[in-house]
Amino acid sequence: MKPQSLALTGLWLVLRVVLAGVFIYAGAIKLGSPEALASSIARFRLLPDLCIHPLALGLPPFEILSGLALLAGPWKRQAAFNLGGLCLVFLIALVTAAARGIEVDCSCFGSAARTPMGQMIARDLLLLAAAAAVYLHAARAPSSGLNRTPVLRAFARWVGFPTPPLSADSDRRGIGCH
Amino acid sequence: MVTRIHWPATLATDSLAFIGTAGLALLLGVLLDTFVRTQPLGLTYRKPLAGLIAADISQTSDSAGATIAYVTFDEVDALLKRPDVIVLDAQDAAFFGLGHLPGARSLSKETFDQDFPALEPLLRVPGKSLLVYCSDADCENSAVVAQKLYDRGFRELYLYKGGMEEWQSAGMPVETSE
Repeated sequence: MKPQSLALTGLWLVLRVVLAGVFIYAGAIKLGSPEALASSIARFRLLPDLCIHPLALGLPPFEILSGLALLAGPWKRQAAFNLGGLCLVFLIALVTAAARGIEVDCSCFGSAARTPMGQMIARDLLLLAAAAAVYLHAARAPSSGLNRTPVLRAFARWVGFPTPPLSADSDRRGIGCH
Repeated sequence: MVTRIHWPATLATDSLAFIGTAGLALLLGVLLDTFVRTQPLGLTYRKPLAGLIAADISQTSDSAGATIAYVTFDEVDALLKRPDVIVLDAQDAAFFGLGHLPGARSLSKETFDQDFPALEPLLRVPGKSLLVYCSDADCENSAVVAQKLYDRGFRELYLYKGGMEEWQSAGMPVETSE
């Protein structure tokens, strides 16, 4: 591998690890205080009451699972998609809250300090951009992970989702080896 | 190597992975809440006291003649002069240290269960009324703390919605505990 290519690979790895670390950290600190998270979600006044506690319970494990998957490698594209989707949903929630004049605190990294709205939106945009970059980079690499898992491919076909063909080349290279 | 991307299929399988991760995360979150937490959050969100008092009703009474009321800045000023009123600050302990209403005692929602037993003898003195506030009009903490007090039998509760923000912006005296 050329030094330039090696440096680029290292850069992508660093971006992936940092992004994964941010979400694992965010999920881990929220895991212990679902009540505070539920209260923060309720303040957005976007969801019916029925959805607030399930979201407060499910969001931290979702961030941790996706962060771990991003670190693990074989499912990095799907993990980046998950985290990007999360950032996008959160961005919509923040912007609509700002438009309605609601002061919210996302509790993204615990509830110790109140973060200004502009800072929350900027941070979310940055994370969204990072997740999108990792996703596009992973999508351009030979297919791996879930796309190569026979059970999931079969399930995807069963529910009507088309599955991309596996190239002979990527088959020879093995799962997750780029 | 750059692989040709089949976007519809790629996005479809990634959406499937998103849904799968969300389901798994919710399952993990519920299991953690049910079997690990000493005080499970549960799946049903219960609105704090603020939700029980309609926005257009400033005062309500139950059959026992109790009072639960939102009070304005002017009313708070008057209440602070009454010896039978105990002021409770529902902000996080760190914010309480930075500034609170004169004579207020800290009783945040996060540390309610630890702090309440020490305060209980004082709060249970017959004839006492409780004034609860937090940071600003959008802060739910005072309503959450008031709800917890209500659940423990306290029926003379005043909620100051404007909170510290209104109090400080009016140039009123603030105590710190640093």
